[in-house]
Amino acid sequence: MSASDYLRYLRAVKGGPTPQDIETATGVPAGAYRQIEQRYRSMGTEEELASLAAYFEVPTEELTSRVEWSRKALSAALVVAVEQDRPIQLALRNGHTITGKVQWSDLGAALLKLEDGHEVVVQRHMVDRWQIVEA
Amino acid sequence: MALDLWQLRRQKRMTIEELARTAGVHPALIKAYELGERSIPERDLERLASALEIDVEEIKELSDPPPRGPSRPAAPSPLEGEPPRPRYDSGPRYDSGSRYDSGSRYDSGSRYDSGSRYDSGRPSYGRSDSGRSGYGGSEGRPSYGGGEAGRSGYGGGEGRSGYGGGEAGRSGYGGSEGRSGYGSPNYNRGYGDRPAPRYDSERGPARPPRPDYRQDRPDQPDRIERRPDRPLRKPGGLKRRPQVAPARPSQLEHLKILLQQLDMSGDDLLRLAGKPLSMLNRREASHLLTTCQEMLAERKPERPKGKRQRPYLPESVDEHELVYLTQIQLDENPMHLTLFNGATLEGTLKGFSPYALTLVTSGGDEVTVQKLAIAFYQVKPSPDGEGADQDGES
Repeated sequence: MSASDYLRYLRAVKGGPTPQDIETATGVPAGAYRQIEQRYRSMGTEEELASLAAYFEVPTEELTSRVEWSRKALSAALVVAVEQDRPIQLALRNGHTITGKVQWSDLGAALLKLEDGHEVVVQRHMVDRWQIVEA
Repeated sequence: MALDLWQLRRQKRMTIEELARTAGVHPALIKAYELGERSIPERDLERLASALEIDVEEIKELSDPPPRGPSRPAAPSPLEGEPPRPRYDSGPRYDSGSRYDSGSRYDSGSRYDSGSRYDSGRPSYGRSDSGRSGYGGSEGRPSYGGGEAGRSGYGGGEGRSGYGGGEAGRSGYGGSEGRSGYGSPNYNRGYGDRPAPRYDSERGPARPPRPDYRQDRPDQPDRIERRPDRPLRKPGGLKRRPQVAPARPSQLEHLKILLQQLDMSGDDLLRLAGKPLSMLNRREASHLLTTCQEMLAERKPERPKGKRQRPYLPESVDEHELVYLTQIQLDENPMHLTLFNGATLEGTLKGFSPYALTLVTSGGDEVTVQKLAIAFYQVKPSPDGEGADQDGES
């Protein structure tokens, strides 16, 4: 999970404070949190990430280690799964694992068609790990 | 056939000042060109041609001076019984002490551009009410009997340029509207020892046309004659430069790109332009660019209006989920939501936004759930469906 998705998840766990609330509480410059959460590339200084980690009550390493983990990596995996018509396995942070073929994916979610034909919309911010299933 | 500069300018109904401003050539130079006192160098030739929107070949390099205008129109005769008009030269003469007191004719001295004779601030012929002089003009502005506000003109009636004729009632030595210039009332004030001319009715027959001004200055031969080493070139025998500059490199580059987009070959270009790319001049290149762009616009399908065009990125669009939720809402299918903490929620989708879903539960309650709290959701399988929610594995 990228730092942005992880922050999004942490925000959900904390009850959904707004980015402005978080910026006010942590002293992160206005707009910076939104950039960190929404941008696809690495964002945020060490100080900002440390402040956010303290706010969300997680180790700083949880954020700093994910900074270089680009959110694009999940996008790339989803695209490869579509192009190769192979199922992808998504491990969610709540412990669920969902395996299916990607029907579409966008900014916030991905639709997987399960083997039984049912469709599940997975929120991207819940995806912790992923793996393209070998045919 | 090449024409004199003054003819072309008049055809375009431009004043010397306007032409000077458009072409970026000093008005004094233009006057000299029009009088034929100077041949027009090629650089100015191009500028003037551009300003007049004609080809360079249409301008004679050495203009013949404009013909003298007709004699001044007769002023209205004094009414019978009306006392004769006072002579304007009866009083103190203006500009006494100036060199114009010598009684010489206005054009009997040196050439208009001879320098210090018509220095700034000195009153001169054709002085207008605005204080600016004509024929050499105050403030160092050269003009030829310019009318008001220093506008040039060889005695032009309204200050419009002209050399004594051509435009009826305006220019000419016999300027008709009584403004400055050689035919203006000011002219009648007299200068020097020479009595002021009277109106035609007093003078009798109209004054014959003035001879060419060059003939009045035998002491200063023509410029061309003064430079025998410089052969007089015939206007038609000049080696002309191309009338329009060659196409800019940027134009050619743009054309190449457009031709590529149009899948056009060199032969197609030859058919379109009539010449190879390297032979195009600036104007032709511009025209060809317009043509190619129009052709390209015809080929491209029109983009749907109101549809935002964005580069495709798998995660740069959020419309897939929007479409999916819309369909669920229309079908009124029950949804099964699994939240990040493992809790579940079932209901019919009543509404949604980019950040939240609103469900109506079986008990009739409306519940809005932030997407942040949702791990995944699916359309609830029908009771007789197979394998409900079997994908969740711990």
